[in-house]
Amino acid sequence: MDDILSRLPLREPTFFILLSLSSGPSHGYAILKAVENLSENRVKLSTGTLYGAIKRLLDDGWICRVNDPIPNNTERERKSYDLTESGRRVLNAEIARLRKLVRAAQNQTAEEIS
Amino acid sequence: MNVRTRLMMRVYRALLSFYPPAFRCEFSDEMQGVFAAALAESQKPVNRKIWHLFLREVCDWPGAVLQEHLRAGRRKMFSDKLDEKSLPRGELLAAMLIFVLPLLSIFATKIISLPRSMDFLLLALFWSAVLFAVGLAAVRGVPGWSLPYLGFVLMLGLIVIRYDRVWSWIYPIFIRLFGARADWPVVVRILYVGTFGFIVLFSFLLIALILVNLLRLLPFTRHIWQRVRADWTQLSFMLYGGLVFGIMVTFEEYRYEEIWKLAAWLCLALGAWGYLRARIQKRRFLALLCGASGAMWVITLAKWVLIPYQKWPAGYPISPSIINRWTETGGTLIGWLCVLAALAAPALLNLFPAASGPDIIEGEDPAIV
Repeated sequence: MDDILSRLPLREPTFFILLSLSSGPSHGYAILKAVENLSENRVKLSTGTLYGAIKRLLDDGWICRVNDPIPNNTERERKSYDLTESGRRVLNAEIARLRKLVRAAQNQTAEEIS
Repeated sequence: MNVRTRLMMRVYRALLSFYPPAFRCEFSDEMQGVFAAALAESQKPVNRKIWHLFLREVCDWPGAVLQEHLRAGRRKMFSDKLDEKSLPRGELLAAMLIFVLPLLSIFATKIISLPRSMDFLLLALFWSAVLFAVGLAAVRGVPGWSLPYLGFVLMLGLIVIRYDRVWSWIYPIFIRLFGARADWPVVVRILYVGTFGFIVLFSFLLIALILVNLLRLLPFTRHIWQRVRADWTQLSFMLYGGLVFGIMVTFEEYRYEEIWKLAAWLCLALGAWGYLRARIQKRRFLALLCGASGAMWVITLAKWVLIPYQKWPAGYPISPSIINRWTETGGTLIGWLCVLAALAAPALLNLFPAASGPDIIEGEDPAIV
C-alpha cells in the first residue's frame, strides 16, 4: 500500500487512461476517445503522449496487453489493454485521494456559508 | 484516403522514425493505426478539425520523442535488480575496511588522543590491509571487495608518478594563454586547479578501462571483464576507493584539518556501505554519488574555513590569501563535478559488446564477487 501511495498523485492523462480502462479492455483509439469524453474534452492526447503513457503503465505493471475483444476489419493487428490488479489498486487509491480533497473543499465552503 | 491525408500519414511516419528503436518497434504500427483512425474521424463532421488534429500531433511530437529517448537512455544506463543474494559478511567487512581504518586512525589519535603508538599501529594495519587485499586480488581474480583497494593503489601510483608531470603540462599552457601567474584572475586560477583534477581523474578512469579491456583478451581473466560488463558501477566503485587517497592528499600541509578529514571519510564510508548493501544498479550508483558528493562538499567547506588559519612557509605554491581561498574552494567544486562525471563515465561500457565466453562462475554475485 505504501508503494502505491508513493506513486500518487497521478498525472491527469495517466488517471484518465486508467479510468477509461476500468470498465474493461480497450484499444488505443478507444482509449484516446474515452480520455476526451471523460475529461469533457479538456484532455486531448496526441498519439505520442498516449503511447508514452501506455509504455510507462506497461512497464509499471499497471496495465497489460490482451486480445482485442472487438472484431477488427483493418489491415493492422489491433492490440487492447486492460487494467491489472495493481493498476486497479492504484486507480482506487487515487479516486479515494481525490474524494478526500473534494470532501475537504466541501466542508470548508459549507463552513464559510454557514 | 485523399492526397492530403496520405501526405499527413507520410509526415507522421517520418516523425515516428525519431523515436527510440525499441519504442518504434513496439508501438509504431499501433500509433499509425490510431492516427489513421483519428484522421478518418476528424474529416467527418467538419473538415478543418483534421488540421487541429495534425497540429496537435506535430506540437506534441518533440516533447514525446525527447521523453522516450530519456527513458530509453535511463533504461540502457541501469539494469534492473542484479542479484537477490546479499554479500557475505566477511567480504562486506573486507570492502569496508579501507574506508573505516582512516576514520579510526583520526578518531583514535586526534579526537580521543590515544598514545602515538596507536596511530602507528592503525597506520601499519591500514597499509597491511591494502597490501594484503591487492595480493589477494591478484590471486583470487579481483573479487569485488578488493576493488576500492585497487582504486586506492591506482590513484596513489597515478598521483605519485604523474603529479609533477601534470602540473608541468598545464602550467605553460596557462602561462601562454593568461600571462604571468601573479596576474591571473580568480576564475583562471580555479580553472587551473580544476584542470588538474580533471586530468588526474580521467587518466585514472582511462587506465582502469584499458586494464579491464586487456583482461577481456586473456581466457583466465575474462570473467573479470564479464563481471564489470554486467555491472559497470564496479569501475565506479574502484574509482571511489581512489578518493580515500585523494582526501589524504588534498589536506597535505593543512593544519586543524582532522575533523574535516574525519567527516569526509565518514561520507565516503557511508556511500560505500550503501553501495555494498544495494541490490539495484541505480541505487548503487546513487550511493556512490551521494558519498562522493558529501565528501567533496566537506572538503570544499573545510578549505574555505581553514585557509585563513594556515601558516604555509615562504616559497609554498599558495599562501593563505583571500584569492587562494577562492581558488582552492572553487577548484574543489570543479573537482567535485569531475568526480561525478568520472563516476558516471563507466556507463560507457554499455557501448561495448555484451560479455561473451564462459559464464560467470555459478554462485557468484555478478555484481560484487
